[in-house]
Amino acid sequence: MALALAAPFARAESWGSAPAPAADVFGALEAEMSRSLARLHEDSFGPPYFLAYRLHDARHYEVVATLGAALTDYVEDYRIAYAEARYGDRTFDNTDLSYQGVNTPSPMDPQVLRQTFWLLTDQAYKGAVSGWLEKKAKRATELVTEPIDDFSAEPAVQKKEELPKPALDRARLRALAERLSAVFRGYPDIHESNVTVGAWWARRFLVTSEGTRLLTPAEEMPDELRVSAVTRAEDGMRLEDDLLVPLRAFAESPPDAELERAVRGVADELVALRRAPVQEAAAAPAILDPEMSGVLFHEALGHKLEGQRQRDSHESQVFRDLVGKPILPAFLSVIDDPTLKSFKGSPLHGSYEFDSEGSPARRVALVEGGILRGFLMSRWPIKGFPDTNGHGRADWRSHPTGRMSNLIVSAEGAVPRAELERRLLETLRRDGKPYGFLLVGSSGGENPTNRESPQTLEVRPRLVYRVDAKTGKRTLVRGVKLVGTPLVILNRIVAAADDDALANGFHCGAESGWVPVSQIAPSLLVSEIELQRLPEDRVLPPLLPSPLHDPR
Amino acid sequence: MIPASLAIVLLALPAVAAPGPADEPALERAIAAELGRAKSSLREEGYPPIYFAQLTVWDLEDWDQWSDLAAPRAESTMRQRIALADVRVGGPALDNHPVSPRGDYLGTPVSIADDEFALRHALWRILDGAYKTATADFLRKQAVLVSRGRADYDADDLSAEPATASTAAWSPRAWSVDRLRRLDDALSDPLRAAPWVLHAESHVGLRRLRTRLRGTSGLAIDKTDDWARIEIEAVALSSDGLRESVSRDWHAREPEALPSEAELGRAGRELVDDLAELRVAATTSPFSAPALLDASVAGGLVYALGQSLSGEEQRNPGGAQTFRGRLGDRIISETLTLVDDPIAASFRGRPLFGRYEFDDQGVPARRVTLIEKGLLRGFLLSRYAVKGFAHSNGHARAPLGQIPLGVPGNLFLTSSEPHSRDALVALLREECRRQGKPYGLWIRRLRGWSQQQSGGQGSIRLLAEVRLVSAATGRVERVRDLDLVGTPLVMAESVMAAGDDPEIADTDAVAPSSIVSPSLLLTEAELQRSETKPEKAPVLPPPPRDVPEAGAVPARAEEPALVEVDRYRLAARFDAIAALDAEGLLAWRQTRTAEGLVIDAKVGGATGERAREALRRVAAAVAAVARGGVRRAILFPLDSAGAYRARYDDGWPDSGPR
Repeated sequence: MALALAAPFARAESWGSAPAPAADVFGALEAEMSRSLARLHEDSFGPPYFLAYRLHDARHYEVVATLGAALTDYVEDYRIAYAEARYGDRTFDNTDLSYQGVNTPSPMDPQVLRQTFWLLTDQAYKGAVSGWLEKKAKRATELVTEPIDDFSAEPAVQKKEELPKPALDRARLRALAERLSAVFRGYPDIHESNVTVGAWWARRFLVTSEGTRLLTPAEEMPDELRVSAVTRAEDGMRLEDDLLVPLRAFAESPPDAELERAVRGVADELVALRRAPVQEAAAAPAILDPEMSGVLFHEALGHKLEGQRQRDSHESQVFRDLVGKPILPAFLSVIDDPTLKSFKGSPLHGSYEFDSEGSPARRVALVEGGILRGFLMSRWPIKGFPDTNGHGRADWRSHPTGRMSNLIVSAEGAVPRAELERRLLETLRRDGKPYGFLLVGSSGGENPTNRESPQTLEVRPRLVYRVDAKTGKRTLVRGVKLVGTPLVILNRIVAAADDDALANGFHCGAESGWVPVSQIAPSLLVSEIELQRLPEDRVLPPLLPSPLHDPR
Repeated sequence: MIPASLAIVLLALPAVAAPGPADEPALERAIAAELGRAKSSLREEGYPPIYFAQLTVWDLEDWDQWSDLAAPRAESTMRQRIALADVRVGGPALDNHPVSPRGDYLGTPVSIADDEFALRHALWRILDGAYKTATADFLRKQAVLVSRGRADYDADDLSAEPATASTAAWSPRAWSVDRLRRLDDALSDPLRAAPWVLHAESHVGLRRLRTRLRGTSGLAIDKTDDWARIEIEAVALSSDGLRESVSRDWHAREPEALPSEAELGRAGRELVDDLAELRVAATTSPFSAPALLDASVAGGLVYALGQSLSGEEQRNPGGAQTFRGRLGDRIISETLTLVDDPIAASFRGRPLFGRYEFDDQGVPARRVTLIEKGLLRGFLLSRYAVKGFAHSNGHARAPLGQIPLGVPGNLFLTSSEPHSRDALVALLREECRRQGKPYGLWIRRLRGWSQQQSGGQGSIRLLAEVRLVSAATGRVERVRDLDLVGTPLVMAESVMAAGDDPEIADTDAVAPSSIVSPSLLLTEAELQRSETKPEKAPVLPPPPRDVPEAGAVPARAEEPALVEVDRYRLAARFDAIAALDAEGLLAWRQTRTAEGLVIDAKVGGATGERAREALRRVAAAVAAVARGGVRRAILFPLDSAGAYRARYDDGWPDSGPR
């Protein structure tokens, strides 16, 4: 039986190929870069003024289990080489918001690594020269009233941190996935459930023509533990729930029993949801729990404070000219801090030491006492902010842009959660509303950032409770999500609780790829939110009962 | 969400794989219980019940390694178990089976552990989904029949076959991943030593696959199909900036069938020579001419013909139904006979890739004559019957996670009048002279093919090495950037002679298959330009590798201000690149034209004087390498418009004076 619950001993095995010595890798990258800087020129065009090489070297293990038994077991070992070339000069080069470098899977053998970067650099350089020409052609007709530099000057950094050799305790991780997934054996009403355990050993080399030399862990890939479950209500509505366990490495994971309790919580929620009544569309006051609040700030504020968006007139640029002006209620402040490693003992997913451009991570105040103070800056300058603040992030194949890391929302005059709930009831009674809502947790959200689209964002709560105005009684409901526009919804926040909590394990996707982030926020009272029905997705539930609950 | 995962890799495979079927009683119990429950009780009120159901469970363990120039880029290992239910409602005469073959992936991953709880739960869900889809498909199929009526070629949807059972504990074969890695190195090392090779991307893979077929009719078949692959594609730029590639692959079902390191080392060196020759080969405009296809290219053609003889194709209303109702008709030369024999294990001592004992519907494999002395005699049949044939002939085969259909196992094309190679070449020249064509085609070493439609219909494009054979002198000359195109049936009909040199070609286009065919001489075949676009050579020379070869790719000097394209008429083709490495020569190509072989050369210099000097050097270099005299004709004058066009236009002055 596969349900041997735990490996008796932690036995780490070797994991993939032996890592190539760092000196050989730097040697190959540097040799190719210096040759390119000295001799790369085409026709009358000179060499690039800036080159950056990134190389990610990864070992990955993933096991997926369902109902106590492994479903897939997958190990891989791979590298991604990335090169970026800038042609022109800092004041005007080939890059714009759609710029991407070039990448390819790569070997680590130093000779073939040189060959790989030789071809990548050639491709990046030719792309840079033609990109520069195209951009210049565009400027021939386009009016630019306030020219802004294309690349900020930053000091070079050097740090070489050797990682411990890759070692994998495959038996333990597989047993963990199987053990946690076995929880669902006790829930016949849940039709699909998976526990995914993903472990990474990954390092990043970064070499730039400015002299930056970095070898660091690739913090873009924390280990992960995800639980997801799906079922159908009796009326056929699809219901899902998930759990992202905050951990950076399995060495730091909470005790198994605690994890099992959390998984059981997901299963119980989903079973309760099956029996919950369907909520019609509604507008009413609501309390957002810390996770929901965090995701709301991520969507409604965070993405719109990404520096490069203020450069591009196609972007909504909601906050471009509001620096020093109030954009939130005065009791709220927001910072983004990639240097913060943990919160109340839990590791944060958005932490790193150097961003994808090699700039040291820095804490940045975005909003202080409701006043807009700053943006999430990469090396793309914007008006009033000529330098990076260490938020240039990207996945392994993309060009870095200003992104969130650990987004922290704090409130002055926070009250206990019970007081917040009392105020919700008070608001409902005052406004004569029959009910309000309590939104708990979030499975993510979306929001458009360009001007062509209406700036309507959506955030999907994991659970929605309807709160009766008279009795305060909570009823779990299903079938709705939160929608709204950023300025309106953020300014309807009227109070916050003192229950700041961490929401972790989120991957945030944008032009520069997927990066891990976290949010820390308190519960918030919002004077009015809008809930919209989820798209219809009903199918016939299974005809026969689950085999384990069928006497035949 | 997680970023799309990239490439991949690996650990050594466990020496002993997972336990075999006999050791997995829980899987057997789960299948029996859920198939039983589905057959007896899975039914929706007002809809038909299940009359037949088959579960296919594939257990696979994959190891793969991808390399470039003999250095590993990625490696992965994966274990998965995929299940698929073929659920039928209605009855054998008419059920929900699709009228046009479906190529979509329908598999679902299920537990790889022998855990009855998890497995039953998964099979319950799979059968539930399959039953609902089956009833809906059945009703839709009936709806079409109601409005259109039954086609005269329609037959039963599921032929009656005796239940078969053949199960056994699995005994893993002793594959060595280290050996596969060494084979990859042996193959790739020679390519790494050639500095002008841009990429030599190789893949070695090992799949260990066990397939279980279980059905409501008592069907119980276990199959084991190991499969090792070694593949390589090497790329270099030609002198005129086109991306040229050569490739090879090897397949083995058991470790003993793998090629040796020495054999692969030789193959690697041959690839280097092949690519070197290809880079400087002449180009020519597409034309049609009599063609000699070697056994590998003939194999591609025979396979396409075999696919169009699939039973499913004869009943596919969306397909060409090329051979429907033509039983007994002559369809190719009466000297040719085509047989499919999945039972054949080897040919002249070499193992066959397409062999099997039971097909994917559990029907015993059978030898079938498809074409006898040019006359159509049969089809590749699954249990989806064809008019005139009440039963399957054991050719139902399913790619992983798909519904099976009739496809080739081991195809054998034989000729009653085999000719020697020399005789075929003589026939080729004679046919050219008869048709008044200056050159015949010799198409060799198939490296791939593509087809417009699936199922052997539509035109086929064969990517292979193309050589011209002079009708007058018999001289053979390599050309490049051309592919062979045509429709399989027309090409097969135009076969006028076959060789005495049958060889095996392997493919896994749908399922593993081997084709044994001799060389074939066609009265006419057509060439088409390859889909290659010119690209600029890298600005810098390649970084040094262990074995530098001076001057193979010249470094770009100062960018010239003036460029012209010159045409030189040659008495003979030349092969050496380095010999033409004159300062000021920017790019060149050889072309076979109606009036003979020519070199077009782009030559330039910073000033008019420098450009003229360069021209003199290039003319001297061409004269030195192409013995027999050189005649020069200037196509573009040294004016700025001409220079610009020559320098920056994608290609070459094809529309210029010839």
